[in-house]
Amino acid sequence: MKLVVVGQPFSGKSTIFREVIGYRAETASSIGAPIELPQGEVEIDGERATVVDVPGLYSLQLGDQDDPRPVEQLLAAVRDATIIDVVDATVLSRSLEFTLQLLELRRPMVVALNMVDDASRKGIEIDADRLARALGVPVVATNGKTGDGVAQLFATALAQRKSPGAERLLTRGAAWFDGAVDAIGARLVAADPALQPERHLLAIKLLERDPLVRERLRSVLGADGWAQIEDQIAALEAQGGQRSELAVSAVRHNLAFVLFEQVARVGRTPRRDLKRELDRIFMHPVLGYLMLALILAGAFALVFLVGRAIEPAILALFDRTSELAAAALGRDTVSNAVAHGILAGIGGGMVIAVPYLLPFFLILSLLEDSGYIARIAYLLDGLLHRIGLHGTSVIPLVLGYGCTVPGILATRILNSRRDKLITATLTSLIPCSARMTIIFGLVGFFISLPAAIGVYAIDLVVVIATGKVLSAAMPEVNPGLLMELPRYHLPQLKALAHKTWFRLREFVIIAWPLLIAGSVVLELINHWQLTPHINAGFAFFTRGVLGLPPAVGITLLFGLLRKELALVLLFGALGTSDVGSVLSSVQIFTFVVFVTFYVPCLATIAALARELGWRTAAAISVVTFGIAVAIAVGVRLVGALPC
Amino acid sequence: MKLDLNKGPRLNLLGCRPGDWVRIVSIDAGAGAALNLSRLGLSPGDQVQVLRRSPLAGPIVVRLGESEIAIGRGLAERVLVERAPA
Repeated sequence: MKLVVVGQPFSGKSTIFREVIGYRAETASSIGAPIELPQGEVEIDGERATVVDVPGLYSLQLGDQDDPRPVEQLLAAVRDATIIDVVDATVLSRSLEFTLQLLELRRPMVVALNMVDDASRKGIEIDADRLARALGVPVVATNGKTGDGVAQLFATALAQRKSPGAERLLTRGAAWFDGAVDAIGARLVAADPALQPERHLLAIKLLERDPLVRERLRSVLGADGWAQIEDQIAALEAQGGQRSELAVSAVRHNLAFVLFEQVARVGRTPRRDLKRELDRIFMHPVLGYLMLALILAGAFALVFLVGRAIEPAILALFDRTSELAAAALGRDTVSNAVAHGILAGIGGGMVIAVPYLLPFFLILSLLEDSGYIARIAYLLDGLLHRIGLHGTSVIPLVLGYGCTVPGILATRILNSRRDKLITATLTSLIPCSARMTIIFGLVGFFISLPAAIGVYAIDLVVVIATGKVLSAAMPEVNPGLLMELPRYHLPQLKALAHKTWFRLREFVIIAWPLLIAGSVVLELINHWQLTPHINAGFAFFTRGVLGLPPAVGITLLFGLLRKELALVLLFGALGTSDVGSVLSSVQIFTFVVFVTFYVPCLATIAALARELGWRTAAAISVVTFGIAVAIAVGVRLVGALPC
Repeated sequence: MKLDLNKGPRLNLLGCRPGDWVRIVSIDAGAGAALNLSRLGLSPGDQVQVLRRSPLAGPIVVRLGESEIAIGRGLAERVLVERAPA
């Protein structure tokens, strides 16, 4: 028994899921699913059911430029399940368009009419029984925040499981559309009788030019059959003067509106509205930017202060543990090298995760859950436009200042592959907290604080220039930002903790194991004294190109594993922690700039490969390496000028 | 003199001021853009109110029923509209 909770973004879907499952939800990594879905067990009237939460989606209709994975994921999740469709009652008409698409899937289904109280406050009264009769599936009024109606919702869903779903609701009232769906459906069944049960859905999807269904049916139909279908769709378009995918969405749009008119009564809207009052400040042309600057500066300052306060304690703890291990295992043994590597890896991960990532992600979740992040996207859209992106890219880019891995994974929220590609490339160029420790630890400490801030400035220039070049190379297909501005919410502590943990988990799962493995390899290299050979091999590059002592070769190699390893290792490689006595200021600056840009760390490459494929990940690595060499050589040359 | 509304420059969302009520006439961009707008409930025939315009060449915010949607300039320019009564 499986219940799948679906709905549009901001419908309150996850709140309902959490109301039932709580925060003990397990995430199941089903094979082929790109993103793990939260799920949990619930007992309803003595019967156990698995409840799955699918990320919010506005539509199941896919365009050519869209990432098909979220839709595929939803379709896979509901295949053998009962659908719980959570609808935001305040935006019923639009939400019903999605509900109609779900009905086309002909799965057992229940509609949760959520936030009815909010709707009623805004003067919208909805007749749930009437809506149920019109849709042909049960409708339960709920309030996710108080939990009202949620038990009844799940009991109804359980009772629904044998129901075959609704009749062909979509086609009611549009005769030309009915005709086309029937004709294409008949052709499909003639080609393969096994398609009989899904013929209507498939016909609609063909009219939508759904890339997934087209791919699937092209081989089933054969060249002739396929050409006939294409002709039929073309004829329909000629007749209607409109692309068929838009015609389908127009049919749904109209039907949803008619349904809305039938079941809802709209009275007068109250004049006072918290959202509008807050937006008057946060989205104000001047005040808005002032607030943004204050909030971001406050967030970074807080992260930096918390990090600096906690970091030494964690490092001390691991130093002590390493001493104990060395005492127990003997100093010059392989097992001590391995143990020391593991401890250093765990410690290194802790030093990033606890002092920097944890507060950073907590603040970011706060901005996200309160609804403020959408306002940041609004405010910065114009600026991001100049580097070929739009406001939505703000989230991955800002996350990138914490850790590049969650930043890259957050590019999922972007629609087009082009935007993902550019944003991911720029995110990997943004100095993460590991790089921050290098910038402040070397340039900040041995040169000056303004010089450290200078590295950030250079970085910003590089990010902007790279964005300009990439967007010029890939002219925009999709003309920009399109985003719903959600209501403001008082964030719930539990939800915040949960979201923070989820982001942190991405670091723990993807990055941490690599840190530990890298540390072990490094310790073994040290143990077997392979370092001089490695350094000699890279001397042409380190000395020849960058003008640095060959001893830094090993640090750059291991900086690939974890950027801040470059800093830790530098002390060992140079034989002193007083870097300023061995390297000139220009050399320190060159080293730091190179480390900041050259090839994302291994965990980032893994994240890039996961989101964009291995080839793209390799391409981004090569590009960033090129940028690093160019900037580092530039710094070296400028440094060599007589002052 | 007779005015032909179909002639002369058409009004698009970018040309509207905060407070204006308009009806979407057509979306003069590819099917992908029209589809993206329709996902958020914006289709030809719909009546929306322009709420605000961002400085720095940023987006336009419109209200459709109870939802507020930010539309980037490039796209807003391609949403052709006509004035509608409030």
